[in-house]
Amino acid sequence: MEKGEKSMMSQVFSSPFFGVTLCIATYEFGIWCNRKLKTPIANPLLIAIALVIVVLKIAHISLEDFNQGGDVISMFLAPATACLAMSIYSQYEQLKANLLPILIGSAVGSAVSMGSVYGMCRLFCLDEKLTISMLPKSVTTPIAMELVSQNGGVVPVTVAAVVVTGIMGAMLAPFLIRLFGVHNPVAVGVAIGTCSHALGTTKAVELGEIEGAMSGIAIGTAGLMTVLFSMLIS
Amino acid sequence: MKIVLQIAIVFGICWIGNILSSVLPIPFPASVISMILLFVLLLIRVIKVEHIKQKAEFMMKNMAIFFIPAGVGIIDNYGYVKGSILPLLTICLVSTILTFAATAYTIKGVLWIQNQWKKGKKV
Repeated sequence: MEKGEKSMMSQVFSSPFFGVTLCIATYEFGIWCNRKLKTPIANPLLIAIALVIVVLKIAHISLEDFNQGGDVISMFLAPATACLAMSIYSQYEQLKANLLPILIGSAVGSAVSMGSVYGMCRLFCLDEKLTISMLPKSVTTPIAMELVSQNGGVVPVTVAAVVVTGIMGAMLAPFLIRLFGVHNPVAVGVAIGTCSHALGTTKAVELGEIEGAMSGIAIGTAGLMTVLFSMLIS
Repeated sequence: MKIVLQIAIVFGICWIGNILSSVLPIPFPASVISMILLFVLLLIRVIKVEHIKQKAEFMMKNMAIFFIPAGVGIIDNYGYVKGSILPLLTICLVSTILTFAATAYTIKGVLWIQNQWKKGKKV
């Protein structure tokens, strides 16, 4: 009897429509919270992830059932990454004018990011699987995810690390600018985009037009550099 | 351009990206190949911005939604990371600060060298 009930529950929630609806509804709620609270800590993505987990736990829905819809949503990651090309292309003039600083800056930044993560993982004696999962944490989520799954890491850890890094970048950016005395808008923009991808870029856009454009370009270039570096390592 | 066609263009590029990724002898993320491919197609004007504008804007605006399922997957791995949360957070914080400083100072340096070079050329 109980078993029959369970499979009926599973039938209800294993419909792909359930997962898709839950993702979008929780995300919209996250955006609403973010607007009300006006702080980067109230990140819509983090709120949505937390809420989905709470719903799954309370209603005893298995991850497998949720993922019937979750996989549909995940399918859009690749096209979303591809569309980054359009936002870089729309900043083409800025890119051309500062090509060398952008490329060298995001290359050095990505190398320092990966190097410092690797060093600290050793320092804290984290195992290899966790290290692989953390290495690309400064780049935009879809690129980091694909790198980690190719190299045999734990993708959910990567997603969490990427989002946390992004939030830290967005919150710390104004403070870091003062701390390091960097005022050149190109340097500020690329630095924000390289260390904290799209989440940091939301802050860079607030700082100024050039900062925002540079940060947006750096999401793509830092992603590319990180892919190249991890190919060299492996 | 009609939205369905815009979707078809972007999905088509991703499909080609997948094929290229599986053909390449080295592991290179398919989505990054698609990104480079789309950028090149825009540069050589095979695809114009208006061919994909609404679709691309829709994807960028709602991008975070697409990460939710991957993030939710943490419940299956919670036991694995439970003991390492503090080190992981420290790593995120320290490397973010280091990366910011390294990138910003590198660019300042490159801009300075470029300026000196331009000045030298004028003299």
